[in-house]
Amino acid sequence: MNRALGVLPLAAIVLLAACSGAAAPAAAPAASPATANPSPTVLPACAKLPDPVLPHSAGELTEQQHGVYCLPRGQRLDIFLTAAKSADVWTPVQATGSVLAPTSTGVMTAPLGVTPAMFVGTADGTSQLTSTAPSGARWTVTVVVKG
Amino acid sequence: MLRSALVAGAATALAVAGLAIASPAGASELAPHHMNPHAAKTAATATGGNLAYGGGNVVTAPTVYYVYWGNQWGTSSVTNDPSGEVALQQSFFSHAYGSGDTFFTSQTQYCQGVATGTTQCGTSGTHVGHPASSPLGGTWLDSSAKAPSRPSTAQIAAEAVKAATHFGISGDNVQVVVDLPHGVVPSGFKTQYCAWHDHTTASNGADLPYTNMPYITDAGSGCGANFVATGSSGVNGADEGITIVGGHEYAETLTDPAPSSGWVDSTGAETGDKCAWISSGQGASSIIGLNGANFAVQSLWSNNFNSNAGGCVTSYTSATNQH
Repeated sequence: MNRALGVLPLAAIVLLAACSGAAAPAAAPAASPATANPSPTVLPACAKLPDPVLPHSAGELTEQQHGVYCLPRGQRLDIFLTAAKSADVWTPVQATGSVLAPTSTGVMTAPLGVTPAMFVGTADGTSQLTSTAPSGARWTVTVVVKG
Repeated sequence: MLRSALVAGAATALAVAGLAIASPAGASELAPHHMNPHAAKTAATATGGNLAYGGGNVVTAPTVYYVYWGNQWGTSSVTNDPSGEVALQQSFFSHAYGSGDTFFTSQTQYCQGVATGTTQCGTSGTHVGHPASSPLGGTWLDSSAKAPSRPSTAQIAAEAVKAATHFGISGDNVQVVVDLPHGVVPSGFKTQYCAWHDHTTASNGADLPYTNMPYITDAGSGCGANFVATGSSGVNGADEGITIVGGHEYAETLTDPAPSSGWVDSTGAETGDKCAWISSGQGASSIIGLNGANFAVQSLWSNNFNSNAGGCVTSYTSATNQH
């Protein structure tokens, strides 16, 4: 109980940031001290994904989105990062942890200069998505997977 | 009706082919240099490794059907096609067969009926088919109504099912390409995708692979216009995306008709994704000859290229003769 209360301020901050529409920094899962009595993991608050453009998708993200987004467990998230200018193409999107599994981007031909990625939420938890561009630009989003 | 559609399609294809310069039979590379450097890659994507079998079907006897959706194309025949996409698409597939096509042959190394995770089929399993004659099975102008200006994914799938019913087809060996008319822009076209393929369920309950193919030239260079230098090939640079994207989706449907149960790499990429928009070096997009006609294409992934290390190729005669 006390540990759960301890992470509430962090969850509240993330929730406020998500609701304000501001670009929230990626939030890491609350660290839990090693004890003999595990408690349920408290996942950060998250925003609804923008509507998808491809079939079978829960939603999509572009380089315009930052912050924390929700992905229902078992559903797919599509990502399209468009280069701001010639030769400044985003690198392949990397996901931390194991709650997101890459899946086929091959359903579509991406336009020139667009870096696509697709992930399926396989387990409850959080994952940080990142990509960088040669110009030094960095894109980061936190995805909260929950059933 | 199907026969008449085929005859009309073949006639159009021949007319288009007549505009192209003569070239030797086979998918010879004619103009490997690209013209549009915007965001192009200079080498194949190395991440993800080779394609691996996912346990599902591949296309063992490919046949392609086109539906031109909406009376924006015309009412009794296609009259509104400013880039000539219909004729070029039909010509492309009408030439993609037999020994005169050494482009799509790179995909015949993939198979079904082997262990999940397999990367080299060898002689095992049932392989992706390569047609002995034109794989173009039929075309249909569905001018019964106006296509929505921004069709949803569900509406596009429904049109594919409607076309399959018209043609009397279903199953993973057929693929329906839903051609959207000039000016129709489904959400995400141009910015997130040029085209995509998927599968749905035909009216008889069988699987039905289909492709959402917007009017590619509406996207300009973002979807392939002027990506490859045309040289003296006779190819119209502005139209290159029609066959670059068309070949990409066709090949991916051959190897993964029910995504993603076919052949994908560890990152989920299919055969075309791994080789998209390569501008120079191994696997660079180029203009190839198919049975005497020239077309712009991107390369496709070959697991057995470079002693099974894998790579992007535009010509494939055998596991030891590809480039």
